[in-house]
Amino acid sequence: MRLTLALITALTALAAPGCVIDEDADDRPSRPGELGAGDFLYVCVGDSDPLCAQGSVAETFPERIAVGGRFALDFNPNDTIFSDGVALRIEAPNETLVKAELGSFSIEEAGYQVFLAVSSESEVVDLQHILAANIERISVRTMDSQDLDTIELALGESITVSAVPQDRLRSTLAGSLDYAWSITDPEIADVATVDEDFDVTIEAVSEGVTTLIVEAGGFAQEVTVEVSVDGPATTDTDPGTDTDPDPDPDTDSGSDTDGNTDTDGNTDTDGGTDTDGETDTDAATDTDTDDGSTGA
Amino acid sequence: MKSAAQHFAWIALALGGLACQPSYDTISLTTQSTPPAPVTVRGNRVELPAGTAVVVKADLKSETREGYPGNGELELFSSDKSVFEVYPRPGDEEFVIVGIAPGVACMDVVVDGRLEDCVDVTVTVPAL
Repeated sequence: MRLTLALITALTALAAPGCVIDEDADDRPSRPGELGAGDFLYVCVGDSDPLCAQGSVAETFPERIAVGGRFALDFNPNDTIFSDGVALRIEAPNETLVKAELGSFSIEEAGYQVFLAVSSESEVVDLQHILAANIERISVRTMDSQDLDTIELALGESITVSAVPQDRLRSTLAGSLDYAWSITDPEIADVATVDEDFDVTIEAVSEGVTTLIVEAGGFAQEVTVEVSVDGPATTDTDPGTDTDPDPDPDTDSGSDTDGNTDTDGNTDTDGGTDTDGETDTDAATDTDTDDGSTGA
Repeated sequence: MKSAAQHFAWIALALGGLACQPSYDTISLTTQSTPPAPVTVRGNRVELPAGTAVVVKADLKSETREGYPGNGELELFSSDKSVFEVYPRPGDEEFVIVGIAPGVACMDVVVDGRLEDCVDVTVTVPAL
């Protein structure tokens, strides 16, 4: 019995160092305090913080925070300086320009603001300056982070986009903001809200051009929305019905760059034979695949 | 029973002791941190932008320009917390001065509970 107990104890002791699960392991991004007493940790508040797009934990400690953006800070004191269980709190001394609410902060004016790690004796053990910047642009992005200047949709098509606030250098600004989305002409495209106003789905309703507006932090960004029957220009933008009856496929590969009205065989300079019999009036590159040419 | 001479001796000693105590002359501040925005700390004058903090070390000087030998307690206070705030650091000599809003205010220097001096603190517009 004694031998069994001793064996279990020995095995436990041997196994323990490699099996320790650090419940305090913290993967939140941190930045060393300016006085070297520990690390400040950045905590996202809400889902609309672009740093937390992939989850609740921020990807990096932000360089800049949007004016009005909500965030929280935590402080991890150095074990070598402080004993376990030391009580520290984060304070923002400037109550005029830094609003503190339910454990989160927001900076109300561009510029640096200092945050203090304060002991129960009201002594400052460390500090961190955070730079707030005005929103100068809101990037409207697809879910795979493609920046959109214009949204082109086909009738009935929809696209989900998100908003990322940026400063004048187009650097992403951290912090959770309230986004307001609207469309100037909802008869052309409509906005359907998803995910707490952060991501939205735009639905094409009828042919035409309208403007998507996203507002946050006192800034409004406009993005053109073009709805066409056939969708974006990367596909066939030929407004005519192409009913090429030619049984022989046209295999020319030249581009039609004349920009003139193609009256089927008269001014077509692509070198191929255009025999579809339809009036082709667009001046753009025609990628009709039914005749194999790229002529207009 | 003490004689009159003994009483006189005690009084003379007490007066002599008082005369030998260091007398406050000035406070010297030196920067102990590197803020992200320009901060000026020269002797007993401080200038910093709103929103910025600087850690300073405070050295008391006596009239003889020697270090303040007394073990007096030094405290610094803001005369206008809407302009700047001052916080103690662990230990007795360091303080954190934080600019709140543009303006000029006095940082009161209190030694052993006595108001001894005023350090001008100028707060400028926030640094971008």
